[in-house]
Amino acid sequence: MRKYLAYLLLLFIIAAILRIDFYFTIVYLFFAVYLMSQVWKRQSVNQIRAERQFTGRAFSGHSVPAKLTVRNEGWLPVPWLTVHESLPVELSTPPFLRQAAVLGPHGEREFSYRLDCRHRGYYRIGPLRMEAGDMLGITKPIQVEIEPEPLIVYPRVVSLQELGLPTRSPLVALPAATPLFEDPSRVMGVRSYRQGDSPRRIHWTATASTGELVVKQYEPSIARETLICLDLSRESYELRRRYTAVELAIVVAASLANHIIVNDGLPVGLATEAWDPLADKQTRFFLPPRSERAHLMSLLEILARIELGEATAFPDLLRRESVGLPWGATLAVIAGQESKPLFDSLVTLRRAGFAVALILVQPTYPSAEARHRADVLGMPVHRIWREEELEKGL
Amino acid sequence: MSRDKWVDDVFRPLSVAGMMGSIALSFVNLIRLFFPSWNGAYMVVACVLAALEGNYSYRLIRARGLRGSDVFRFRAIEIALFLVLLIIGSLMGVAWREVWTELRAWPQEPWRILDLEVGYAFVLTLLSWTVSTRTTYDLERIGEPPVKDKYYVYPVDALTGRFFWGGAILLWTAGITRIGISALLNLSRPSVPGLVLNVLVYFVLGLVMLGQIQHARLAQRWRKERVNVPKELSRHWVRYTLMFLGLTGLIAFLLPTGYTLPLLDVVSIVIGVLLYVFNLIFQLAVLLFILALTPLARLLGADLQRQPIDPGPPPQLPGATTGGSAPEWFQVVRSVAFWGFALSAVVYIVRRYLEDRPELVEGVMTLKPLRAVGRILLAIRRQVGRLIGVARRRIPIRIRFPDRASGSDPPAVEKRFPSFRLGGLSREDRMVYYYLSILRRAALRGYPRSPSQTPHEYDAKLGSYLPQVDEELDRLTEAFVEARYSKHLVDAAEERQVQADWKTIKAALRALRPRSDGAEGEEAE
Repeated sequence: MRKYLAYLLLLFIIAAILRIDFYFTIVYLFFAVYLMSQVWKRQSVNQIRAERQFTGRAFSGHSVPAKLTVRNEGWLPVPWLTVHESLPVELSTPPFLRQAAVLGPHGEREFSYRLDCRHRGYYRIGPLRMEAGDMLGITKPIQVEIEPEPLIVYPRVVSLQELGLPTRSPLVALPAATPLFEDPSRVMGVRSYRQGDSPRRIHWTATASTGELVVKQYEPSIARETLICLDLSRESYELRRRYTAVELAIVVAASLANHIIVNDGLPVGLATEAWDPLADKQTRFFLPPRSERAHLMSLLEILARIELGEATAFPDLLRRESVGLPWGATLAVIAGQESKPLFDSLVTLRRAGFAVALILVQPTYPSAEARHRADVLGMPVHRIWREEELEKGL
Repeated sequence: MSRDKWVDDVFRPLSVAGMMGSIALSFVNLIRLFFPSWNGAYMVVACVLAALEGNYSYRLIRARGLRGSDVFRFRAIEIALFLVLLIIGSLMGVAWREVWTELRAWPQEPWRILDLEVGYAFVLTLLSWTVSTRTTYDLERIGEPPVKDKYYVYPVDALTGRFFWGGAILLWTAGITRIGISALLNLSRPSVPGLVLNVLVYFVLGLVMLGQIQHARLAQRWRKERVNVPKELSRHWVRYTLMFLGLTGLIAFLLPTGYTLPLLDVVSIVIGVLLYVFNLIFQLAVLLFILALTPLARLLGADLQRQPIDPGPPPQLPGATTGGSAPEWFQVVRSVAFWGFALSAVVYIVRRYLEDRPELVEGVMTLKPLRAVGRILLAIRRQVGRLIGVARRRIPIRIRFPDRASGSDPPAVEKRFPSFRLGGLSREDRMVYYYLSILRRAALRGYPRSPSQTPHEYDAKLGSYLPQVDEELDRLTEAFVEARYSKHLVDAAEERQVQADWKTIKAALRALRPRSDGAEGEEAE
């Protein structure tokens, strides 16, 4: 560009020395070319609008269609425009969309692409960079950038029946024989009348049909809240199998949450401490148990984006987050491997009146000692390692 | 690598040949000032043909994969062929008998084979051929990866530089031919009118070539970066390049050239005045110095004879050029166009320059004198604003402009669109404008929006006064909210609908009985 202006000056000097009218016309021509190139380029870039359209949420395994609309809102045509949309490498191969386009006055172009949601995560679609310039290459092209937009890919959700866990209360092994409180609105079944049973419990219809006195059995009315505690500290997972184990742990957590809310309609919460790519820092997440669908989506969003974090004291997290839970609530603890501090914490929680289930995401079965301790506590321990195991059931 | 055969085989060779022919013509015309009997047409044709040959032969060598001595032999044969053809060409138009006599004389007088005219034609042809070959070489290597060499020149730079230098040489030689060498130093001579065709041809072809080079460069880049290129791009490129050059050419030809020379004269007047002032200051300084030394010289007993200082006559100021006859309407239009164009160009360049360098503006604005000027300008602006306010109050209400003090919304329109053209806004901004325009009009009728009201709340409120346009108001409010707070683009159909709604609501507002209590009434409710 400097050369061009220097040349313009040279032409002007020649024209001034030779004093030929037509030479000034040539100077004007070059000046007009320069000025028009600048004006055209800026004007056309200012009039370009771009819009990205796609569904911002998807489940793992789905394919999301995306549409990019670039529109020229001005009356000056855009002679050339390059569109470069950066895409996450996990969702698209190649990880970009590159297109050249020409936009007439008020012209519009649409570019379509698909995002293959192969892996859960929080992704940024974009930024979109557009470059436009003049037709003679006299001025530098101008770049404009459109902000990226998020796409959340939820983790895979597996139904709990396939896991082989009880569907009503998937993890809680409540001592049903001696419930402390009962919910008269939830009839679990009937049994024969025993001495001392309240007459109000007599199931008259069933008594009439069976010919003997039967009484209603109510569901225990202790808190049916479940808190999923997910261990995502680095040292809990073996280095060699870290990636697989963490992903599986998240799938297990998502599946549990989905089952409890969707099938049982019971409240579920989440407690974990992990790396949050959105905040770009180690973050402690605590979602108190709730049973709404929207809550499930919030929970899945967190599970979609969290990653393995720094070394943290998971037992401490368990103790701290269980403080606010009502008596009898269930804690589903998902960890990468068994450890003494973890068991100690679980013992404490069990003694505090919580129902506790431990799910270990590790290739080996729990040690005999761990199984023995769990049996003594009445605490179910599950081991999951492969996707197939998860699908077939334990 | 897909290339456009038409561009490679026809457009580029013909353009380069045309440009070389234009330069050759200027050289031939220059030399004919000294040798008027020489055949200029034959030289120009030879240069054009050599340029064409240079392009095709280079591509032939590349296509055949010739290397080393093969290329050397090929080139030697080419040059020898040029010479032979030039000699044959120089004999064209001569009677056969004379040709025969000439041929018979060659063995005895071999220097007659290559006379001065043929020699000059040969040099010009060789130059044309070399430049054309080099240009083809550069054109072929557009988009190739650069070589690690200190003296490496990018092909586009080489081509652009060649075009620029060729143009400068062409202007110079064609200009000298036109005005004559003797008149070169006479800067007070009148300007030379008229079109210089070969200069025009050269620059038009050169600019078209620049467009083509840019297209080739981008095409190569896109190919490397795996960018999908639509097929229609090339077609549109040609169309838009021609449109662009046509437009700039129109501007260049419409602008009067007669102003530039007087402008130069004005510059020379300014320089003359400055020189005069410097001369005066210098003479005054010398006078003071002599006066200071005089007592000292007397003390030393020097016999100073007062010499009257003669500063000499002041230099004559150059007289201003006279305008000539009264301008006709077309000249007036051209003058206005010229000054308008020149001023806008200067303003545009300065503005862009400052926009690109905000730190420069900040730095300059910290200077005290400029800050003082800024304060003065601000004070003037406020004063003018005050005067306009007074004038507004005195203008009858029917033609009164929106009063800034009457409500919260009218200024919003003006704040957002301080000086605008509706067509110059984006669709989204136009949506916002339609809504704010209704707010402003409603406020003028005494139905302003209170700052705490959301658009939807205000919609419900205003809708109760204008039930006949309730739907239109809903649509306009929705469109405003979407345009203002979402990233969605507004399409043409939607805009048409909202524009129609805007007009309907405006009409309804005009029919609405004005309420004098305005905002106060609203608050009271």
